Amino acid sequence: MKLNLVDEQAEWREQFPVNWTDDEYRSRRDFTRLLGLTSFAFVVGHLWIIGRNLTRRAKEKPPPLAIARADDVPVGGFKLFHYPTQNDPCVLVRLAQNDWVAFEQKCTHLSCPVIPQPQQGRFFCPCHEGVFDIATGEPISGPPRRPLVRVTVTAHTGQVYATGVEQGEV
Amino acid sequence: MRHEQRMVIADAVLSIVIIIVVLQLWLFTATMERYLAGDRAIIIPAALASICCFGLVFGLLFFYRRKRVR
Repeated sequence: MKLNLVDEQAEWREQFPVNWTDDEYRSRRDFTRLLGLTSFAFVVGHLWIIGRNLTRRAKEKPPPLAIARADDVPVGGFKLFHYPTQNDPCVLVRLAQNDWVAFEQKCTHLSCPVIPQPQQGRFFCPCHEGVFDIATGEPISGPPRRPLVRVTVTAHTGQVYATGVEQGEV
Repeated sequence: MRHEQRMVIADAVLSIVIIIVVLQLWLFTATMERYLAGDRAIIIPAALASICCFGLVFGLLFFYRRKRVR
């Protein structure tokens, strides 16, 4: 019985001969070509980033918006506002008499709203205990690796204005 | 050229191409990370480096193809 199986296999091999060495050789070559295409795809990805950066630059700067009266926010206090659209929650913090900072309220980890804690000098994200520096927005501890998006502000004649979104995107 | 010799060259080319592509993967993720963090200065040099990597890969594949034809 065993002998018959071998004979049948030999017959099958005669009818459909496969040169395994050549077959593997061809597969390897195709795989190398696929890697070449992958390499090209990475180049396209980089070009896409450049294109996206250029289109972002071309967009108009959002107009200034009065977000608070200076008297309404004490030193060490904060105020929530939306800028540049109603879908962009931000937080304004008064660090000193003439020292204002504002950031988007979205954590750069998973976009949870961060809570300003001026007394401890930090923004705190309760979702995963991420901590950001309140003056710079840089991540201090926890999962976030990117700084909070800064909103530029100026104080003028008793009013605080948001004048633009400075950097980054989440 | 003998078949075994061609296989050695194929292995060498494949190994180098894999290393370059992994390098490009790292470069792309690092660039995306920095771009999302607002660091725009890095994207042009990173793109140039990626293009150089692709040039190397293309050159290696072209070199290997010529060797195979001969």
